[in-house]
Amino acid sequence: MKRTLSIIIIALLLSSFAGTCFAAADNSPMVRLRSGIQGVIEILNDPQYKGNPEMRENQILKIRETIKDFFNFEELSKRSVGRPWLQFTPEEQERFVGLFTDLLEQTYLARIEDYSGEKVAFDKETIIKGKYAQVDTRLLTGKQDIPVFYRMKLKDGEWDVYDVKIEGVSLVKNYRTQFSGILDTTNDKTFAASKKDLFDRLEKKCEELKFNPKAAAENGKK
Amino acid sequence: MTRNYSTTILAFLVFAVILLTFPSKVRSAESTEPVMVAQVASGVIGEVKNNPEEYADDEFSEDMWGDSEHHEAASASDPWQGYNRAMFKFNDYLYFNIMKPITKGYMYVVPLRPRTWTNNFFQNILYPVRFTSCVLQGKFYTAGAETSKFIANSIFGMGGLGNVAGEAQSTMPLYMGAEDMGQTFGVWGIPNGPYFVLPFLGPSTVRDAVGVGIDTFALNPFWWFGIPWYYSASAGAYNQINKLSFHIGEYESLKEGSIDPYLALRDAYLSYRAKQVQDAKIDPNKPKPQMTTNPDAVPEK
Repeated sequence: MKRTLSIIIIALLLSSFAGTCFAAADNSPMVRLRSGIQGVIEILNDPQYKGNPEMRENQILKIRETIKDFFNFEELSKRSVGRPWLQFTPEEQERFVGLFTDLLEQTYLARIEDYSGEKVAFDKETIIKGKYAQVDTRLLTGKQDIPVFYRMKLKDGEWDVYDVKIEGVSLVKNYRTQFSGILDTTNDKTFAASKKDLFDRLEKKCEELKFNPKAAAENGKK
Repeated sequence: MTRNYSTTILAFLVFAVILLTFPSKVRSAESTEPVMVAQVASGVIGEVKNNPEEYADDEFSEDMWGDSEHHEAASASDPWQGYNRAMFKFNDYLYFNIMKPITKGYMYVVPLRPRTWTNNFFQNILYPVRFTSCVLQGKFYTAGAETSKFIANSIFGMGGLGNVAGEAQSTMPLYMGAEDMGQTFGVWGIPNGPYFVLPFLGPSTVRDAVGVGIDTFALNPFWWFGIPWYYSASAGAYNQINKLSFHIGEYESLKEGSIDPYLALRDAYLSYRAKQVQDAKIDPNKPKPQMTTNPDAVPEK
């Protein structure tokens, strides 16, 4: 009697562990990233947008929403600014996230439209400290594979992308180099002035991208 | 007999010390005692005074990925920023007003295929550059692969116009990273030195500029056999334009998304070079992906 009871308890314990394991695998960074990217591909393939220029706005809006769902733009902004982020007021942080997200979307959404049926292969995931993960992917272009690494963070039980690394170049680090070149943290006065400069530049860039993407590339000398 | 006994004791002692220190090492690595971490952090950062908990669990740290070395190699020393920015502007002007229009015209006249042949031809001719660097870096298998590719393409590929060998295929893992002297110096442990924008050629560092000099004037066969310099120079310029025809739009997109294009390009160049220097072996057996996307799927309604 005692033995059967203990067997049942063990069985229950095992199954509950198996359950948690299964749940973890189901919510793995790789699965999450794949479903996110697949979602974008499906919108691009959607026949209702094909050859219908009026629906293009809708399509772009939908892609934006999908990307926002599996990208963590707050974390991305925070890391791109680096430590001075802690000296931003919550309002400034919010304003920055908005502007920076806008900038990235304006720049990269146009690139997404170059998509022509390439496959993305997901090779490996590495989880560090339980809340950071890197997923190694390759974009299979037919001629050669382009390795792309996604770095993700666990937030509220969901893995979200906060950095993308291609050919050794990290998105976050590239912007951190630029932002830290503008932000001057020597003292409060210079910091406030350079912060204003940073916001001005971001705003100007977003305007440029919105109204005249071509000119932004050629005139954005400053 | 006594000797045997003493070795046993020694071995036991060593073993005991290892066993005793090992768990404590593990423990101290995992300990998140804020005081200790803060002490270390304040020593390193030198700015933690009032709020030691702030950096206890450093949320900005990127050290966990094992690529800190890469970041270090890609961090910039830029003492000549004034000159560099001016040269960047000059190159930028050159690109948009001279190089790009010429390349666009060239692309209009010459279709993709002949441009690929030209590219193959130059790639093949520049074999000595890659071979020398492979050998100097001790990448002998890659040097061998480059050699067989050179022979195959020169004989069966109409003097290098074709690429019969395709992308380097081999039965063993190889380093493939289009080796050059700058990378060789990097592998030898010579640091980048100051960032240095070259006229016409774009971003570089002191180390890479020396490498480019050696690659261009010593290892490039166009400068051998007493060929007059103006022929060699125009062949080089033609190669650049032909190469650019495959990469038009890349610089624009980098610039389009950047707040400070100079810094964006500097970081991109240094990061890319650091990756090239630390390139890993490429396994001919491509990794089996655990999953892929479905390129034909449409949303379910």
